[in-house]
Amino acid sequence: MFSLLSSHKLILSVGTGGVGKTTVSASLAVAAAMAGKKVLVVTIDPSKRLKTALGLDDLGTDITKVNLEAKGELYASLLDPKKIFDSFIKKNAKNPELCEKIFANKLYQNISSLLAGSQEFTSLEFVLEAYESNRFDLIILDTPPSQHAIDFLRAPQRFYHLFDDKVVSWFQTNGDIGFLAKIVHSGTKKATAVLERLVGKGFLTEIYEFFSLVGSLAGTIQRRSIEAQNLLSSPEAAFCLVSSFDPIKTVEAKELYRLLKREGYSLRAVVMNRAFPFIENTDSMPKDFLAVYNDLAERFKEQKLLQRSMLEEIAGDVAYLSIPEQDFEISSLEALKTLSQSIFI
Amino acid sequence: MSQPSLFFITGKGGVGKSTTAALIAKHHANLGKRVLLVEIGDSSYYSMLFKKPIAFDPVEVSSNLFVSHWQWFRCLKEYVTHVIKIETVTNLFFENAVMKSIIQVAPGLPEIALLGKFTSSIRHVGPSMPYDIVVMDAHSTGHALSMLRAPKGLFETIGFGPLGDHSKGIHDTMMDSELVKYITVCLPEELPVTETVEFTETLKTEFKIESEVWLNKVLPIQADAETIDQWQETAATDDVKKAANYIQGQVQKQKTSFEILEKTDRLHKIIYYRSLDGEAINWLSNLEKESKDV
Repeated sequence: MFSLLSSHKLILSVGTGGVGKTTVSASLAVAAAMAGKKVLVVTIDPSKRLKTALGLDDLGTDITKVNLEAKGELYASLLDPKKIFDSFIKKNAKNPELCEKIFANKLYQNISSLLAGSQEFTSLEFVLEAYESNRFDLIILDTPPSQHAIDFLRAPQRFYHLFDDKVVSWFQTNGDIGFLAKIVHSGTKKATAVLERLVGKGFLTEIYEFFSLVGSLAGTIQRRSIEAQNLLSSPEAAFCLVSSFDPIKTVEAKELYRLLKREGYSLRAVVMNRAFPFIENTDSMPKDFLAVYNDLAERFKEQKLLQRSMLEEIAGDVAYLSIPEQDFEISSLEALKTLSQSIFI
Repeated sequence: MSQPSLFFITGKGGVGKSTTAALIAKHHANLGKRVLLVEIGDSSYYSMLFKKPIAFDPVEVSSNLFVSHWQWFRCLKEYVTHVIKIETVTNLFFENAVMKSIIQVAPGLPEIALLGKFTSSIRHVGPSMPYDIVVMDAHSTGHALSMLRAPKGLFETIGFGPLGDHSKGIHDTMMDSELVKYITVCLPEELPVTETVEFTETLKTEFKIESEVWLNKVLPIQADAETIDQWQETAATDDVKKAANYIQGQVQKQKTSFEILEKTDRLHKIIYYRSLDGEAINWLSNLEKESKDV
């Protein structure tokens, strides 16, 4: 596991929701900091667990130094997709007037962080900026929770396709409103009539304006998405796949494993979380203890099979780690430290 | 008081929302009701669970129990067809590249499309859904809140026209406790429980929704802390000690969880953990049999 931390500048924790990615990301970050690195851990999951564990409060969305006693330094950030998108607009808008117009648009205000792929785009943008700043030895990204972990890799493309050339040029009006008058193609005219009937003319204008304004940034969105993609595919970036001992999550994890390998990403570690502590030899146990243990072992018996099947799947160059269910809640820095020390030696 | 016919199941990722939703659906199917179990994510979990391809059109997985995977785009198309009534025009609308982009951008549209279909029978809008009970394996808590806010958001933004009116109808239905029952699933650990309590409070204050809390993946350990202490102290080998520590940890976590939930009066059910082996339908029945009402 240690080579994972020392030979890369970016580690992405991937996996479906609810497997413990956030805890694993935080432990990796603490381990790296303890080993002397200057680390940034980035999370988008607004879970209170990590916030509490890292001592971050609700106000902190910037990069904050964590109060950890270590050879190195630990920094953390809670991503706010809306704030990141706002600063992206500020940074890349052609002029301040355009920027103001965008911020004033009702659609932008409501949905910039809800657009398909926007969360992923903004987290990658944030990571890309942190990487380009050269401030850190290692950046660990806890990817957004999604039902299908592959969404994270596909999302930026989906996002910039929203502002596809054909679509954007359709909305460019060079300053005047007269969208409806400019519709020449009858198909689009009919479609627009349907939309207008559903949402009303006023709202329709907001929609068109949104596309026209934000669309002017489409080129930059595309360029940054490609740059982020290049970083993810480079040897500087490594993927750590997290799963739990659940048959369906394991199936999803294996699919993701194969996909990452196929597309040439550096998948360096597979972590299975919350392992039951099976006992090899139960001879010494008192009867009542044995009874409780046997009942539990029976409930968790599938874990052995799942671990075996996962080990069969992964190649030799991928580290496998099974993290036991912890006796305590991972709700403090001390707890994270204990966890990382016992695992990442 | 009439029995609610819609069930909305939520909870944080990893708690077993999908399993619990399926369990509830199976329970009602066993009682002779015609049940539709619905999942709404991008990909189908129930296809993997029931080992059958699950898509938009309902698939019968066991007697009286039907399962569907609703993708919002398809729900929206169905709705627009219903409003516009001319299929060729609807197709034109959805196939237009510009419209596709616009649809992606409309606030809350995916959520409204899904909730619209979920409440369609009650509101008499759209194609009929011949079921006594519809159980939705809904989004996890954060996204669920956006989902519940979406209809009101849309009719406040748009205000008139079919979409505006229907959004109001959807909102009113979702807020009616005689029509929709809300269940928040949680793990028996302090932090998830605390967050669940906060979430159910938000549902109450923002929407006047009373949600039940169900605890999932509970372990039935019949031993007290002192006895387990003994096991820890007299453990002969390392792995025996680890197991004793584990059991003690679980007992403590569960005890704290119950204490927190007891204060809220919202805990209604406990589901004991058992890993999935064999057929999902049998596994669900076993989980249901072993579960405990609180």
